[in-house]
Amino acid sequence: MSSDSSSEMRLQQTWAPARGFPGVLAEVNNQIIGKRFMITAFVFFMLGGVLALLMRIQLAASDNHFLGPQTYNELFTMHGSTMMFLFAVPFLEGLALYLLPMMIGARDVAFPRLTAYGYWLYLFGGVLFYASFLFGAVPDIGWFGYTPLSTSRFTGLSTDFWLLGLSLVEVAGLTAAIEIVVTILKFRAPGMTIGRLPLFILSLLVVGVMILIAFTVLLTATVLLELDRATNTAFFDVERGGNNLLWQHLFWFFGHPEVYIMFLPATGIISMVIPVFARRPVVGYVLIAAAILVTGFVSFGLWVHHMFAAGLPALSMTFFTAASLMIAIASGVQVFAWIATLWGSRPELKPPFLFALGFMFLFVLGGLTGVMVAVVPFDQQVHDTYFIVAHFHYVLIGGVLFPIFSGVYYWLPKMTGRLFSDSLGRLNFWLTFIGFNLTFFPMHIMGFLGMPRRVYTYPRHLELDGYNLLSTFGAGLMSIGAVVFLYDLVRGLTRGEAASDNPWDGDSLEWSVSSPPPNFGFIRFPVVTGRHPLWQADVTEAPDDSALGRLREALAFEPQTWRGTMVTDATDATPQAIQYLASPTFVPMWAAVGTLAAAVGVLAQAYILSAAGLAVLIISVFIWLLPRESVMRRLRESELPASTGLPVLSSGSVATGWWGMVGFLTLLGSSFAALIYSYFYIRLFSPQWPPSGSDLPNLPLGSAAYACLVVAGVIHCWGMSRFRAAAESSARAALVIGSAVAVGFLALQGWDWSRQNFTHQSHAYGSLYFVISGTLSLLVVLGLAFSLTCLKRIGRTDRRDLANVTLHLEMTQMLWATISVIGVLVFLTLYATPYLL
Amino acid sequence: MVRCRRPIATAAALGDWTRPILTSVGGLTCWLFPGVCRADGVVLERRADWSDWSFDPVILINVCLVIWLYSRGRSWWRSRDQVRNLSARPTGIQRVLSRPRALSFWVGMLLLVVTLLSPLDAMAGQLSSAHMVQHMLLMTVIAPLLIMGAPGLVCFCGIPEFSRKLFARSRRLLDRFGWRSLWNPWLVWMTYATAMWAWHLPWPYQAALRNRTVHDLQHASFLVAALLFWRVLLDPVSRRRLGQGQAVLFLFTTTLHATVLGVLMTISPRPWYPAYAGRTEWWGLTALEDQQLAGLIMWMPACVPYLAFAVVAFVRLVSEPSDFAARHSLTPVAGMGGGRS
Repeated sequence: MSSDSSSEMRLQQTWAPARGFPGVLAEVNNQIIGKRFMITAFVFFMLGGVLALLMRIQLAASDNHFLGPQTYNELFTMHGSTMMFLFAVPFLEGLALYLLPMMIGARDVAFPRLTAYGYWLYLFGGVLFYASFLFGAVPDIGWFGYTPLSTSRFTGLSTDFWLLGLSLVEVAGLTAAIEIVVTILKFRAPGMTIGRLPLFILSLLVVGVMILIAFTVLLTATVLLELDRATNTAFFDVERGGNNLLWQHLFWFFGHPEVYIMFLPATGIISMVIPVFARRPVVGYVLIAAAILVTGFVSFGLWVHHMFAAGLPALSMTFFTAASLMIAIASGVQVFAWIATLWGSRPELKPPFLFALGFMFLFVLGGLTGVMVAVVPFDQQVHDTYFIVAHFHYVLIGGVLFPIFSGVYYWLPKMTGRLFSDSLGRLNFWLTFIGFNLTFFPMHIMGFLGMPRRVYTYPRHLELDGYNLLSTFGAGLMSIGAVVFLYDLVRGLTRGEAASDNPWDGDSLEWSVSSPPPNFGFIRFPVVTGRHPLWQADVTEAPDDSALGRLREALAFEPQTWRGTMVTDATDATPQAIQYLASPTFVPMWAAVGTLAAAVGVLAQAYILSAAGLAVLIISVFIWLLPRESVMRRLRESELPASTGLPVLSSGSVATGWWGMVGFLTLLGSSFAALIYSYFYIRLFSPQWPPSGSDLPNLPLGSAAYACLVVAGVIHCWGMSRFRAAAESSARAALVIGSAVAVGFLALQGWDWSRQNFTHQSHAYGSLYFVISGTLSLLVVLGLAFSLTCLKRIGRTDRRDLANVTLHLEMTQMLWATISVIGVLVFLTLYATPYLL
Repeated sequence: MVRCRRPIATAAALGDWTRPILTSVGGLTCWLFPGVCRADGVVLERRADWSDWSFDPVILINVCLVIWLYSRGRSWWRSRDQVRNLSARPTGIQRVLSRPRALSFWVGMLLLVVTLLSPLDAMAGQLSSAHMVQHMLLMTVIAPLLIMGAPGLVCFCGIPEFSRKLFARSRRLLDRFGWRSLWNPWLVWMTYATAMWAWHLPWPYQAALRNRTVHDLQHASFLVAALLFWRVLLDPVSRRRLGQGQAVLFLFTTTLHATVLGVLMTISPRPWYPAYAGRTEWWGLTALEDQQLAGLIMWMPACVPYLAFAVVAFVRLVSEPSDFAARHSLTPVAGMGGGRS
């Protein structure tokens, strides 16, 4: 046992957080960063709440002049954007990052440095958002920033704050999504098949994929709008052939899934809490899983139903109504599964469970009004009234905030190791619940009576004073609830009783580690044989004499001198390898600082700052991605492969890096899909294509250029196969030739650019042509960087690093294959379709 | 005016021995359904109605051939099983030849005939929305139904013995030239997407409306692309079938691009296929409304099969063996929380 405790000490040292002031900035551990995410998100939640209270005070009486129209516009914009982008999604991401490894039996998430980078971007983005208050340029365009209002003709610096802050937060969301998906696929404890994932994790898996696609489209849209504003391109400028509705399409292509990106993890929390309080497994695990999938799937087809009033074909309305109802069916399945779980049970009304019940009540109400507004004639009637405000607050507060509170009360004892007061929790619940209904229920009626949204006041003769006063009173109650929660938090942290490891008798793995958990979570990996590991005493442990049992003992306290965790197969969760995880480092912070500087440079039109920021970003990413010799040496000399039979360096679908690359390529793919969609959308509404005065694209030159790209892709794939056949010199030759051909593409594309008699500012066609081909060229430069770094390593590294070099080359090849496919699509779009269509 | 040129002309092309059969079939159909026998590219100059069945011999012959091979293949296996007197436990191949699978194939075949030969086909020449329904049925309903019946294997068994060796040998030859890459999911995904997008460009689409051969080619390429697509997902035999999780992603990404094509079609301010101009009015729709309807069909109803199959795959992915709950007692165990792993 003494050797156990000394091993544990060494493990603790390896995983110890970095000390001192600068050390705080270097932290990469998922638990610490996850907590930072949640705390930051909660601070933004309070800020957003204060903004909401100010608005409610303004609306408490008719003809009030407490705020004035301009301030009111600014406040509702900031309130909406804060709650959507800075609170709900980041909080759930933080909760996910914190809990995910513990719930699936791993020690950390897949890319610790990426976690830190995401957090810094989120923090910087949020601060940039709120910095607008200091400059007196607060965004006032609504949380959706519709064009043309958000173009440079109508709004100034404020919109830049909004767009750039938002972009940083979106990138943070994307990093978290890649993190979550890869962690779930690769770090599950042996035996934890996809069908044994806790439902919270299962919903995160679906949501991770949704974020990868939806957030990328929004990011693309915000970049296009910022390009319009900063470099005078014409995507959204109708006079130059652009299209305003394009923004609405791209925004709602993100916006509709976004609702479910927030809502699905929230239902996941509920599916964790309810069975534990009902003391039985959740009823209809498979049905709930299917409902999650259907919701995620269908949400991508429905974005246009946010645009009922934007002039759509009359025929389409029936279809949207029908399709919108499908979501109601999927949500209904989940609600009935929870009711069935609770049926006949005797749950204790503790705060987590109370909030779960409150969620079910409010969400059903919000869902019902959702079904109402899905009916087009009804929507035409209440569109842009307070009925809509009531509807989406029932969905978002009832459907997201209540589950978040439920989850917070549920997991706080685990996170802090303290028990919190039940009575204060109940008080918070009743204040929030009653306050919420008092605030938002009257809004349904106000909407029917014709009170419009986003208007800073209303005349006395509408006789809305009473409802509004009630609403403001309710908002006050809710904020008292938040204060009670804060008090409870502080009280619990300082004076709360120590919590046991499993205070609720929970069923999932996080309850098997101590409260608060050590940074590494597990000393020995758990072995899972069912959906409720802690409720199955008979099947949790692997017998010590089994292969798995021996592996478990061999990996106990290991690896000791570096951070690492076990990698398992993506589908059946059998052990595959041991993954090195990064220790604290400043690189992610520098990368984030570089990104921030680039954004601020655009904001201040100080492009030299942007360039410097980009340089810092690129250098940091290089340092980040290139393997360090000290680390490689440690991995090479590790004895774990001998003692466990699992490699510490891996390639292909065993390695997390490979999956990270797949995530990155998905992101690239959906970004180009959004660009190409924009091309055809603008094209569809243009009377002449290309616009008069511009020639048709040069087909021979374009064909030559893009043929180069395809050839480069094929050569890289060939190089990969040569490398696998151990022909390193021909692999090197392939990289050289492939890169040279790719440079040929850049040259030909550059020549084609110089031949054009229009610029990116001339018309939307020019903007599309230059931005799409320019983005592709940047991607080619990225591909070249990959190829050249690969070239430097092939045949010149230790033979024991072979797996790592293979992985590097595999990523290069995957990137080039993707570039080729995207190249063909871009060629067809830019060069071929002007002739074909 | 009744014109019977087409079946007879095709018969001539096929050789002497088919002529009497096809002539009599053609003559009979012309007599029974006067609206049927329209010649190449000549579209009805009136609104199509229930009598407008078409008996395109190319389709009829192919369908008959496949039906013949499939039923022969099934009976061949059944007779083999009887000879060998196999045990009651179904083997892999027997499961492939199970009744539900055969039923799926027959339903698919029936729908294929109805889709291509019924008045829907005549309607498809007048309404792009009807044409869309036809394509949607081909690609997302008929193809998976056929694939679930393991047509390749069963039809192979139905090939007369003397030529079976020849087929097997040519198959091996094809394998050497990359026939197997037809199982590559990336390639199949892209083939399907290409078929879907390319045929909706105005000129190939309208060429299909004008020329019967191009039209057959269009339907054939849709059907082949769809069969390859669904084979990768649903094939009852092969180990090269995709895993359930991959299947979900495969279908999800297909839904995304199909949706985008549907959206572009729906919101377009101009009709894409002027060839329909003047005919849609017979059905009380303007050309633009007709196209919007087509786009919407592609956008939503056509994606329902993808969703349905994705749900089935996902449910399989997350299902525990059914006796799991019975084997383990699933209630909280007191004191379990204390242990640290």
